[in-house]
Amino acid sequence: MTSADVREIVSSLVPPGSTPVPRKAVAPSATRKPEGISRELYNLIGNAAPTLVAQVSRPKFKARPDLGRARVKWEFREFDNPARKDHLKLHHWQRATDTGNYRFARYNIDSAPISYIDEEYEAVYGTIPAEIDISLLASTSKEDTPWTKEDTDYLFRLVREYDQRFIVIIDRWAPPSGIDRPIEELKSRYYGVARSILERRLPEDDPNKAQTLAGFNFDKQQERKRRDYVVALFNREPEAIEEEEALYIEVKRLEQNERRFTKDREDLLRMLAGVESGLGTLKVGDEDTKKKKKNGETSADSPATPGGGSTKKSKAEAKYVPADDPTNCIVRYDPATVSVGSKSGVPSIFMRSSRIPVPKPSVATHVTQLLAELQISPNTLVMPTKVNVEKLESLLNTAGILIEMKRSVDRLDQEIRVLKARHKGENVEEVEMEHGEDKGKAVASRKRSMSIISNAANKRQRV
Amino acid sequence: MAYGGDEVNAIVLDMGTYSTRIGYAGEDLPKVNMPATYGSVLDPDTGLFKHYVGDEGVNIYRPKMRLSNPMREGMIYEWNAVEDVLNYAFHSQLRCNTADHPILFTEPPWNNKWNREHLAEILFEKYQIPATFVVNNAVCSAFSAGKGTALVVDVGQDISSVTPVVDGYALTKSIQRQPIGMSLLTNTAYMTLTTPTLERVDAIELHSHQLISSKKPMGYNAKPIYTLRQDRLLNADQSWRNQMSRRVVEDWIEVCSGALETTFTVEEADKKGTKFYEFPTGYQAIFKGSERLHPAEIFFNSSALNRIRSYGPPPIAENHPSQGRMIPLQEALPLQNLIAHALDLQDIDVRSSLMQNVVLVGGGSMLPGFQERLLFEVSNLTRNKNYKFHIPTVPWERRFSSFLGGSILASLGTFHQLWVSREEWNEFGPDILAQRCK
Ligand SMILES: Nc1ncnc2c1ncn2[C@@H]1O[C@H](COP(=O)(O)OP(=O)(O)OP(=O)(O)O)[C@@H](O)[C@H]1O
Ligand SMILES: [Mg+2]
Repeated sequence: MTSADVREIVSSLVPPGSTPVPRKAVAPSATRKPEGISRELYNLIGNAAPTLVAQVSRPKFKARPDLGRARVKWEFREFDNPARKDHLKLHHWQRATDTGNYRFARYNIDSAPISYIDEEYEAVYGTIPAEIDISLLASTSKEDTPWTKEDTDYLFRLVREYDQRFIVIIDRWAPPSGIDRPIEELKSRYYGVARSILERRLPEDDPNKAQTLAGFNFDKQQERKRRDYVVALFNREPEAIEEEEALYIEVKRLEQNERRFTKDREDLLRMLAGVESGLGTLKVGDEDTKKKKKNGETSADSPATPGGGSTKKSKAEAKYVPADDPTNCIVRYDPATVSVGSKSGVPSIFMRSSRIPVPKPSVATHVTQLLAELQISPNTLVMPTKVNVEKLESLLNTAGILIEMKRSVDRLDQEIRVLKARHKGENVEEVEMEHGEDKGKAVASRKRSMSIISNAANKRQRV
Repeated sequence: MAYGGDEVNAIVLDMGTYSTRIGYAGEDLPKVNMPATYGSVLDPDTGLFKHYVGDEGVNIYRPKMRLSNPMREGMIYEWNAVEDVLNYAFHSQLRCNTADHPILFTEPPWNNKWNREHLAEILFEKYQIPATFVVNNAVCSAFSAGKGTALVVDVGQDISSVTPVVDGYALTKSIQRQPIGMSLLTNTAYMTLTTPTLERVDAIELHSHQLISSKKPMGYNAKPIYTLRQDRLLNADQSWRNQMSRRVVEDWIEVCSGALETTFTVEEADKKGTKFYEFPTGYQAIFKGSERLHPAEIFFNSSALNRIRSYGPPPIAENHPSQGRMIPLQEALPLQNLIAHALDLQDIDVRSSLMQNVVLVGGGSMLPGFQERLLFEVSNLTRNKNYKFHIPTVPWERRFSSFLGGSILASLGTFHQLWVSREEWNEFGPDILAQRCK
């Protein structure tokens, strides 16, 4: 409740027209000057002496701004919270005109984790005895003991309860079997089971099946390696960090030198021989990393670790990429977008709103126009949740495609018109011939726009 | 209704070892801040104890009034006076009908199930509240600093604790706590004041003002001339007198004490200047920097810690023991080591977010220089430059951080679906609390 709301409520309690009427100042009655005093003197000392009070008693207040707001009635009302399953009635102040659903009900969303029924579990894993073999426990190290169904049930319950926050889950972990396991083991079990359950559940012809399942890939070994690497990064001595930074700057400097050298040579050759040197530019680190990144994004076997929030691919160009990073699934966020914590090498928290996609610069203005027509403003996404941002992104993509398509259609139209104009006055055979050519062109360009679409579709899948 | 707030007139109840804080959700200060201790006087006619609570109940002289603290380790330990405390707060101070107000109460992260359910039961049965909820006070402190993920360092009355909070959940397995709190600082300062020095040949007498009938104005450092109220001296209970003397020391700490921002040396501390203080007896003294700032070394310095280990441990809860382990006084660590140790136990994926969101709260954080010193010690110890402390600049936000966090939580529109209602309590029994308040 803001102070404005409170003022509104209070003002609605005061009946209108009861504003206090300012009292009229009583004019002092003029008194006569007594005899024997000169008028000038009397004016200074007598009753009529100008007083300070007269000057300060009537302050001029600024006129109250008329906000043009009507008086709003507020009521103290009982309300129903649709998220509650009981009959608890709480009371709050509400505008009398506000009726309908509880305004916070729409924030009650579930993260929709996977769950299974016993039959599904048994179909995948068979009926595993509830009790673990004690001898087995003794022979293998504890974390390698096979999972029981009870423990798996418990894990899935916790995942639901804590919305897949594995850090919290490992803290609360007290399974029926009493076996403590490391966090990657829990993740691996959850994603493994969820994957096999989904694999059975989804129909074979579901076009998104492979993609959905890929979301549940989890490589325990990879995750362990990643964690070890992060620990190593974390434990670097301050001197090591400094040295690394110095080296990095040195490398950058060398690269720059090299680039300048190539350019100079290129210029020199062109000037002297008037030809391109043909030597090609020296490959420098920048392009390399870009290529690597692309490969990493498209290859299906890239180590996907869902749930490890820090491993999400970021679009921001990673500036500082030590060689081991890709193999250890470490992504460094662009310090410009995420300033906190990037120094330590561990990505920190970020606002999801800072990850709202922006349209491609080439079509940006058109896309913005389009969105404005749809009355969607990407800057004021009320809740930038994962789902919403994904939707917005796909909308932007489609808008981009639409605009590119429109452009190529326009271009073709233009070409057709030009050609048609040229054909006028020429003989029929030629026209037919040209027409055939034209068709060919149209087909070719249609192919082109198709490929744009599929490109875009690919991109969307990757995101 | 900006910021997702929706007031339903909830009451927030935050009971600590030093004081109990009660007020309305949505406000940034508690309406009631009363001492946790209560007085009891035996009524010779009925043979029953009459309880006195609140400032005017405890701080006023009453013949034979015994003072006791029902709280241990931040948990309710003795239930006799809980209803007196609640009656006083709800009926004499807030003057509200509790049947109209849902009540959110806080608990320390190591609270046990029985305690929590018992308090909820009292609220439902005796006060007819419509709904309740219980939150961890470290989580509240994180919220009060505007954070969902934080390493909460709470230097309270009896206990200093370090609690990692991730996305609003306290990670209970790695909480570190030890019995080094403000009460130990008070003990230490007590020793400092009552130990003669070269300049002060006599020990300072720490009679509280209630016991003094007259005094003479004196110069600095002059032996005070005062008369005591003999009747009160005879009839006052020892526990009350002790407590009142401690109040004198606490006041001295508030006015004069603090921590030195860097490693303690006498020369460095003396540079901080002197402070003047007048005791209730009329004795006026000037305290040197080294004298004023030395007591707080118990938080940062193992040799100072070693000295106080001989005082023995503070009382712990026995009837319903707390969950998790308390580091005993004999093994207590300087605060910076406690923080570093707690961080070492964290998962590597949250460690750096926790490091960057250290939230310092509690009465200890009120001491001038305390935050600076802690930051200094932590970065000295770990050589890691990435620590970031988020210390609310408004002092009462530090003292009342758990109230404030609870107040924020209970006034959120999205929170109201979580209340445990009377209906649910009756239907599912006390277990619903543990299920709902995770
Ligand atoms: N401004 C101040 N300067 C110095 N000390 C202060 C100040 N304000 C409060 N204190 C001290 O802080 C202590 C109370 O701390 P706090 O309010 O954190 O305890 P609590 O929450 O009741 O106890 P706990 O958290 O241990 O259960 C008291 O000893 C009090 O004297
Ligand atoms: Mg406290």
